[in-house]
Amino acid sequence: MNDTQLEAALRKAPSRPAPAGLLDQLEADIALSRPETARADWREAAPWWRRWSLAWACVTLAAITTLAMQQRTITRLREDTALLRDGTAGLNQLLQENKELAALRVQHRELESLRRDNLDLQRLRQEVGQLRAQALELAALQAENERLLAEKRQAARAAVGTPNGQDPAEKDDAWVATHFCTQNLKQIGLGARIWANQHGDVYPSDFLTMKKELGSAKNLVCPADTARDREAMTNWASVTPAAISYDMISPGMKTTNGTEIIFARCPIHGTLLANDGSVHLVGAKGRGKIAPGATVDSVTSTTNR
Amino acid sequence: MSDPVEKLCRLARTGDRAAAGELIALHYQKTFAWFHRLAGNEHDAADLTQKTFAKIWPALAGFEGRSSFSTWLHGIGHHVYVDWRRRRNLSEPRTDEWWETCMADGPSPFEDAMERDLARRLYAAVERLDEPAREVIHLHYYQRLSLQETAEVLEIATSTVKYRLRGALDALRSHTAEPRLPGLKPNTL
Repeated sequence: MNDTQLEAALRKAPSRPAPAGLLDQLEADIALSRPETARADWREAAPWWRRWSLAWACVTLAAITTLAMQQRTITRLREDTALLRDGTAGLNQLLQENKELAALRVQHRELESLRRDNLDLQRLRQEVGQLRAQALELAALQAENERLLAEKRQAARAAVGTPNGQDPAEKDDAWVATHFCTQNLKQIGLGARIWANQHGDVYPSDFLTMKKELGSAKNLVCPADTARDREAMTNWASVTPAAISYDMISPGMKTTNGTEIIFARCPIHGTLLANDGSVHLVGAKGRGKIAPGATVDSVTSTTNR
Repeated sequence: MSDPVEKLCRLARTGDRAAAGELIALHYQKTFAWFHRLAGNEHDAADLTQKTFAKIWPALAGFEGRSSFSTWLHGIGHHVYVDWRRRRNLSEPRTDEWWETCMADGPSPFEDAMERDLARRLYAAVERLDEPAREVIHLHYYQRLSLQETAEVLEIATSTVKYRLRGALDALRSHTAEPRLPGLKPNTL
């Protein structure tokens, strides 16, 4: 049998009918509850005043409970209010203290500022004192320097001598420079004559050619020449034509040419160096343009042998 | 729950005995037949039917109508039968002859004698199934309860009911398909 046949056969299972009397017995055994009766009994058992007393008791209990809760709430609110009032009083005091504290802070800041200013003032006073001391020392040093310079000038003038019986102390720096410039030109003339004697009586074509005969390179810088550094002329290796103050007017001329022919000159003093070795201070006329082979007579000046 | 039965239940809850009587009339035959197959005799079946309906009336106030009245009735009857069986220490399974006697009463739904004989053996084979399988066969096939209603009566899941039915049908099929071998007892599956 398949499942369909099985199920069909199972559903056809016989059912024995109930015996007679069973239905009556079952109906007799019916025991239903009576809700209407229970309600009526309850109503009969409890009079109206008893039923309403329970309701009134519940209402009264609820009212008492509500009042108690309200009273409790009121008490708590009163306590909170008292606490807030105390807090407010304390708050005013705190505000006042806060204001005082703020004022004290401002005063403290001002005091600190004054303290810093005081420290700066003291430091500046110390510096002023130091500067005053340095100023006094500087003045002393300046005075000493002037004294020493004066001594130097006096010594220089004494070494040079005085023309026409003039007091050496009355000579100024310009005269000293003119004197040393004249000495330089004489040295140049002497060196050129020596070189010419060794080279067929012909003068050199430039000053550097006769450096050996000149001796010191400082002889080529006029003491009054502020554009050139005379003190830097320490060795011939660093000497250039641009560092030489003097002008060679007649380079390469013969020594046998006229004695008055100008060999060299100082463009600053106007001092002229002649062929015969003499030096002539002609001033401004000696500073102008001079042609090679010119003579001293062509340039009017005072002579200085 | 059907409207007429629901109305009768509502009236019975208010104390209407006539409505309660109507409910008895609608369900007592089916209940008796069920207990007759389970208990095996009329006396015990009637007793179980009376106990079941006696439990209905006090519990009627708590019946909320979530299931049908028939399902609820079967649920109470199932507990009554289990208690009865526990006290009786397991009843004897129905034999072929018992089913023969039962089927002899009233008109036969089967076409011929062979089919009738096969059905008788089938019913006897059901009695030899284990208790869980037999319960679902009685409720689902004999009492015509749905799978859901069967599950509610036995307080198990619907899937469990399906599983038990599947196993029962497989066992019944194998019994009805295999020829009877010499030496094998007739009541053996």
